Amino acid sequence: MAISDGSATFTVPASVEDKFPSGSFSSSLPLPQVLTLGFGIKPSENLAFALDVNYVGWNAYDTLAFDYDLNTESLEDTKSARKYENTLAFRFGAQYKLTPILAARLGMAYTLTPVQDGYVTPETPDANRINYTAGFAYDLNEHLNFDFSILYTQVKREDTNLETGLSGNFRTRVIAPGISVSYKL
Amino acid sequence: MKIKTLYLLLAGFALVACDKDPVTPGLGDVDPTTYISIGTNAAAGYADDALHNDAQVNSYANILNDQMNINADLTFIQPLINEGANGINLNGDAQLILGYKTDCNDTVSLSPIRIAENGNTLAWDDEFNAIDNFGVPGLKILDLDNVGFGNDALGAGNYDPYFARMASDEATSSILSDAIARNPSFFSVMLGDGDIMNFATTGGAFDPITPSAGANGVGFEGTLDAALTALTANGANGVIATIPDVLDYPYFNTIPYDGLTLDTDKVETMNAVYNPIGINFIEGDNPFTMQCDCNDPYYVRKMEPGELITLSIPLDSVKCSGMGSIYPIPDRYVLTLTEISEIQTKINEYNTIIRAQALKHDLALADLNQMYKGLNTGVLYNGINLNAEFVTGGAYSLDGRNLNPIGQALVANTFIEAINEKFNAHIPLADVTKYHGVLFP
Repeated sequence: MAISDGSATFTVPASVEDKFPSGSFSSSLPLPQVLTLGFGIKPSENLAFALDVNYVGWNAYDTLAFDYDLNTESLEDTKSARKYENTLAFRFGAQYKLTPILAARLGMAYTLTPVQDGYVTPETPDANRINYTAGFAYDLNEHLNFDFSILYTQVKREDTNLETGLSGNFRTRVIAPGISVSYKL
Repeated sequence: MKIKTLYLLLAGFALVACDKDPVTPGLGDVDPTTYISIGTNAAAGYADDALHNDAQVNSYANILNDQMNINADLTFIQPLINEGANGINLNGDAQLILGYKTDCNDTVSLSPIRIAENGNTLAWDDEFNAIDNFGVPGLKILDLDNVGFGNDALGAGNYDPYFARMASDEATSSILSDAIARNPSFFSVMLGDGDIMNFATTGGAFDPITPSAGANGVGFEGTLDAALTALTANGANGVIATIPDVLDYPYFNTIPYDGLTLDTDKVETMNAVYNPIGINFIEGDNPFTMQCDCNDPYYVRKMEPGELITLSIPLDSVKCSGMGSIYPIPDRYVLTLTEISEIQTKINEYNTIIRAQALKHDLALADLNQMYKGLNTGVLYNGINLNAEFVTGGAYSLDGRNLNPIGQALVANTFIEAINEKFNAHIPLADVTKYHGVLFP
């Protein structure tokens, strides 16, 4: 994921404005490769279980770099170490068909954090997390299906960042509802 | 068969919170109802070479009181110079700000300049009563219990104008007697740097350092002991601070001893003058020349490595009039190795006494000596770098020897950590990032 012409604006006192020229910047964020191994079993016609194990190649995210097109003695390109590690995620889910057109779903996931101690930042505070998910699927007709989902997770982490010395107790609560609409031609 | 999927992630939201100290604040054995501060420049809020409102409001004593104000019931009265008015120092000058200055070579650059031609002399007429912050700039310990120290009837030079603003009765008050009269329930003490600074900033030329040993009114030890005995007489708890190595201030470390850069022509001129008296110069960096009690009858020598030049040296004279080259730097702008060693010995002796007195009177000990040392190598606080570089380092104010509000917040936190440890308290640390450093125009 690359940004090539972002705009960098610096708000500084007039006497140092020439040291911090506003201009453009470029940066990029790598997206990790994911290797997935999945299992599914159907003990009965209406019940299904699924287990996913992901191996996520987060070590691609080594550095968050901003390359400013106008550099000065005071404004050098910034390179912040992120040093993400490859991680595993385990996801488990069950689906039960209540009626031929309505299915209920429940799931849980345990994801290991790619962020090492000393590298937690406020921009992406992260820790090992347990995700709880629920949802249902509704088939309106043979062409149109709807899926509704909701994810809930809580993240807590205490860390002191090695680069900035920023020390804090980070708490994140995520509630992510989703809808998908599929249309089969 | 084609499947088209439209996936909508509905405004999923994440709530992120970050806080530093999840511990419930508490005062432990600290009763800050009548918190009294005794000290020198940092306690008073003296910075940018003057006493001024912004520095006073950001004195470590005021920050400490703010942090102890957990129950929102404390008042802390400081002898403030009016907000918006200029500051004042003993020379009648206003405070320094960063501005544009034209030097003798017609070069314009950012430099500390006075905010106004004259200081706010009206502030000398202020009369305060029943104050809580007895910080007096430049205070020497022998003047702590000096009755009439603020008595202007004694005439200029015989009294202290800062204390005159604060004294409850100019003729009969001493700093200590006024402080005791407030019946403190908690106190902070930082003393000793005032006894050394005047000697150090005048290049060791004036004002000998107060002896370490000696009884009350004679030496640092006896006088401090007597003061702490008086302050703790009613059972008050308190905190005392060690003093910094003042020679680490940017005031003594901004102009290098070997800052005399000579090209071929200049070397020739200098050697024509100096070779006959046995002093030789080379192309490139050379030590400045300075006055000395040596090399009779010329009284001049090259500076030695390790010797320090004070920031008070007139730089235009150095750049354009040959000070430090053709004619030597006057002794009052230089600390010689002997003077440096005397200052360091005294600081160590004072701090040994302070540590012993903290034990004797059961006080918390804020190790400011360590905290200031941290500035030499640089302190990283929530992404902000602070160090002891003049102006760019951020921690020191524009006079190079007193701290900015952001540096004062570091001092306040050093006090708080010591208080919390000693008195079983959970006083929250100040958020250092909320206090400003050097302000650029």
